[in-house]
Amino acid sequence: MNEIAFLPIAAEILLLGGAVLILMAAVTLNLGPRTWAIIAGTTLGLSFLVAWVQWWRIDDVGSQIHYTGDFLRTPMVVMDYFSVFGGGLVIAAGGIALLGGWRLVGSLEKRGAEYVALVLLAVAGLHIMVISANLILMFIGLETASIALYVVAGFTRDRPDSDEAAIKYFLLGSFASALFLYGIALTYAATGSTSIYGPTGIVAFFAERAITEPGVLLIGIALMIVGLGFKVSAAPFHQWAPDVYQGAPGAAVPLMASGVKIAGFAAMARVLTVAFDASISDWAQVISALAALSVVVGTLFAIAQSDFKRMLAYSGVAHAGFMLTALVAGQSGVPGLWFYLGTYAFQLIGTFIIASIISGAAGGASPLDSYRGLAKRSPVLAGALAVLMLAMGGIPLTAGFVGKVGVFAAAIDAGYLWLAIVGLVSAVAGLFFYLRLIVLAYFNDPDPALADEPITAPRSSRLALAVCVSFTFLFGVLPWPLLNLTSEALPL
Amino acid sequence: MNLILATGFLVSRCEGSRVTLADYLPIGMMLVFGIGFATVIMWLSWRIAPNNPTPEKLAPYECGIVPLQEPVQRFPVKFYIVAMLFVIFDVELVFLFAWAVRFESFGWAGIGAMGIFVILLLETLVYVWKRGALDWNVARRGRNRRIVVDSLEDAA
Amino acid sequence: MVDFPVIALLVLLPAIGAVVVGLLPKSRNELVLPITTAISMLPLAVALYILWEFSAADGAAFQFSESVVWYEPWGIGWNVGIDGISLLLIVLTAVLFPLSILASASVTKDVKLYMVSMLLLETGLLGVFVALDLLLFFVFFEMTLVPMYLLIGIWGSGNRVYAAVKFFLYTAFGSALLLTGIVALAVMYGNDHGSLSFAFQDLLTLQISSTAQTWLFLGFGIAFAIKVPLFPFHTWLPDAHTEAPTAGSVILAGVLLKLGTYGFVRFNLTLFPEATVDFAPWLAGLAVVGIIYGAAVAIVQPDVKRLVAYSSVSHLGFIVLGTFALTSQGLQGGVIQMVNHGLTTGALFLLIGMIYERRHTRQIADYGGLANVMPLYAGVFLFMAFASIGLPGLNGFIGEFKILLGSYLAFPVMAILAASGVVLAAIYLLWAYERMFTGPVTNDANMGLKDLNAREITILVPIALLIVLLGIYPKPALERIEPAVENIIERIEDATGHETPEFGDMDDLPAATGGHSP
Repeated sequence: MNEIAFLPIAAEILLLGGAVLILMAAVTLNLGPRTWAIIAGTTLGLSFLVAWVQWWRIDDVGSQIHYTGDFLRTPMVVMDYFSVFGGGLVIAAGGIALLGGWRLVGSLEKRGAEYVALVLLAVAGLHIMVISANLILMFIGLETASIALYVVAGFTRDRPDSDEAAIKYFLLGSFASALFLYGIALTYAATGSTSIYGPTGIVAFFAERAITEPGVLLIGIALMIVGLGFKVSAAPFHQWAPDVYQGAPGAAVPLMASGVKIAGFAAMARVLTVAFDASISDWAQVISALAALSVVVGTLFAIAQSDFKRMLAYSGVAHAGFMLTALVAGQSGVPGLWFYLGTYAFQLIGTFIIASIISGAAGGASPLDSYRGLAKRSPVLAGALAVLMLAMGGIPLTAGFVGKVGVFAAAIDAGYLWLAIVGLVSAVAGLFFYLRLIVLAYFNDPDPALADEPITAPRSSRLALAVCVSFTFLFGVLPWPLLNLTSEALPL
Repeated sequence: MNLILATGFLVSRCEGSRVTLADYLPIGMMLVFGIGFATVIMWLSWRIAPNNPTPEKLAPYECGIVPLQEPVQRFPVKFYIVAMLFVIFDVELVFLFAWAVRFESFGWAGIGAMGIFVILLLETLVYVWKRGALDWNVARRGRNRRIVVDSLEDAA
Repeated sequence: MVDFPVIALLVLLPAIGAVVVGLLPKSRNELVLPITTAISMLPLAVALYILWEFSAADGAAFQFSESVVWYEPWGIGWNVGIDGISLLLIVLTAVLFPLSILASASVTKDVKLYMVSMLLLETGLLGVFVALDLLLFFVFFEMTLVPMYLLIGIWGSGNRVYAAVKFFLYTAFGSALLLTGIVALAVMYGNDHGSLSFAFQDLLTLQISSTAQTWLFLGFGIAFAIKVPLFPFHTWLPDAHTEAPTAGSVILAGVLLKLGTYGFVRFNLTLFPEATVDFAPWLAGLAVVGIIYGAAVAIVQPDVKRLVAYSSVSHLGFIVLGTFALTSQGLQGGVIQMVNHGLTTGALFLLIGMIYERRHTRQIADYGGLANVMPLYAGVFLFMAFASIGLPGLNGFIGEFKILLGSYLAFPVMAILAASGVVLAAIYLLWAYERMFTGPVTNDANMGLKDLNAREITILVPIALLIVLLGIYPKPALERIEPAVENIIERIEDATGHETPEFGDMDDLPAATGGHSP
């Protein structure tokens, strides 16, 4: 039987079609940014709608694995609440990030079409990572997204630091991808399958027999953790992040930072808590060590930064640590992970939108001094920055707090009290650099040279920023709808 | 030799219901053999070959013209672009072979999938063509390049 | 009891008010102060209604309770209630806010943001005192942090950024431990009952091993000790108090510090009785060190605001000492002293703010002979200083007397040492009064100072009235506190076998030296 189901991969089809259409519209019909915006918006909107349809479909018929049968030996795609939630999140993050950085598209002229198409392709790749039921497909998704993002990182090629960012991202990224692939190969060697589900899949393999000499399997799992750990910038695989966040065009960073984290963690959760659920006692130790290291290293290095984007990169390392903290609890930590991931992604996008308003959509470095007296230059922007910083610091009534509670509750429940304490103490130390932004924005006077210079933000950036901030605030005060959603979004 | 080892590995892999580290023995043997062979050959050539260097022998072209300039020269970038495009399309087309070998068993679904694949390839070709990457004509490419340069200046 | 969600109204009124103030047009800045003052009267009205309706006989029970489940899987709900301990603190909060807002007339920078911060701060503080759900408590506990941070950081003086950040980080560090403890408790409940719960009443039923109690007590305790602040966690307080604007200092000293002592009484004593008994001598010891250290440092302060700040360290030491004496008298004294300290120190900060607005200096040396120029001001200052020292007939006396009485039963030596704190208080306050107010006017800049105006008198009169009322007739207040306090003591006795010393069994205690101290 050749089973072809379009619903599970409808988002990919739409995104790919959208990318092709934009490129064609740009070169054959000479249509401008407005058309690209319409196409990209429609594509992303429809893809998001597809997520809803998928959710209803699962409500009706339950989770399903697809592309089994003769056509391909093993299931390739899985449609469960987990993949639908993660997929919807990736699409939403991609959409908001693209909207927030639309000013960059305008300044790129003809190349703008390429940029938009690459973003759509990256989103498609990330989406594949989330929905894949097969490690090889997961790798393909990872590479699709990564290659698109390598190019995006170097898109403003007149700035040397942008080139540096692209090359660095590319070299280290390919290295990590290779490690991930090697991990897949070793897993295949140990279990005889690259597929997670299905009668011959890894889950079935572990259900039937126990591995007496798990050496190869453990190396495989370790290599996959390293590969994905690089993508989500967990310490000690984080060194690329500061340079890339700082060098890449400002408007392109949000997707790079948030989208990859979402998909990376979704893949990690799928691989670890589903495929290797049987050997949780082996990998949970490693993950807890990585989590503690990320939280501490990220926080300590962030304190020392003098550039906003570098600081955010290191704080992102710490946040990756918090999310890993949820992962040590196995499947029961997945809701906490989702909530944290979902809210953090929007905090991050919002913050980078502010950064790219301050230091230009194509710009790189964003020194902290340029935020001095922001409250006087633009009260709205300063207010948004304050809310986002407090949310990242985990202050109550912002989504960041609820996220932290969920993560630490999961860790304590799983018996990792020490990890929760390490995390919480680092979170407080982290407040130091989040507060520094508020101090600069509110307690200091602006640089006299800049005081009278108005801050102009295009409507698209303002809209995206408003979405991010209201999201952060809303889910801090009334987190219940999202909590309910995340508690359902478990993998098959 | 390698083939036998690999086949042996595959056979043991298929027969054995449990996977143990012992199953990887062939791979280990192959590894040891490969490294050993390379080492022995290099050691032999170092031992056996007479080593009597003279300035003439060390020159790049022992019996030719004395080089007057650095061999590394700048090529027009269009060669690189064409070479790159050739490699991309060439590699992509390899997928057609895999499909062609088994196209009967894939049936209409396979034809549909390959159709989409070919359309995407064509789309890429159109894009590359329209962006001027295939143009050898300097005048037209120059016009395109100016747009790029202008936009960069705007951005800066 | 009452169907109408009166507590929700109490807590949400300031928050709604904050939104209203935030929406006022930018051009009408002069309207902000009167409107905010009017808004802050609303929670006061509700608080007075609660005070009126509160049944003193059932002081141990949580009245006006509301319980709405917010999120079932986490066991979080809007569980609120008021017992005898929280009642007076709520009234204190509701009284101090209108006064300190009224005292903020000199704020000209970003008035709207200032008032919004004040109102949000009020919501947070009221919320802390009514919350009977630990996560809800934590949310409100943290919610007070940001407005206070802004108040210090934007409208503070001199070294404000340093003080603000120090305040925030110190408290946030404690909060982290508190949150760990809260989540751990909920998880423990979940392990026993199958579903998480943060509800205080549920957690009271939990059987916690003594090791776990020790750690949880430390987690909660350090958070509250930082907030109190207990020696040696006090170093943030002088900076924050000194740099904060007047209203900020008033609220900080008057209410915010009470979050720590309230947390001790409400959670540490009830949830971890065994650990409480173990740790009580240590905490009482730290409290005594704080009493003497704070007073000693206060004596030598050249800055009058800093002087009052250090006096807070000393006074809060009394409250902690009374609390951990674990006697009915001591605990009652501790609770009533929370209110007293809020009133007197709040009033002193208000007075210092008023003179600062006139002279823009807080150095004692810059003043001298003020009684000649501002007789009314000098009189009120002396009155408040007396109340702070604990002159009989004024409110401070009742609290300190009960605390010393209660702690003498438990820790006689410490009580005697602590009593020296009262003497030291007389020294630092009266000496400061002498240098600032008596004698001839030494500094020409002080010659033309105007005495208190009508607005300032309006601010100070209610506080003075309350001070006299609590000093002469504290019975109604103590009546409401006592059942709740007895309840806590009983709980500790039931759980640990610890015998609370009482009057009458003094003879049974061998030479009255030991109590339960080791």
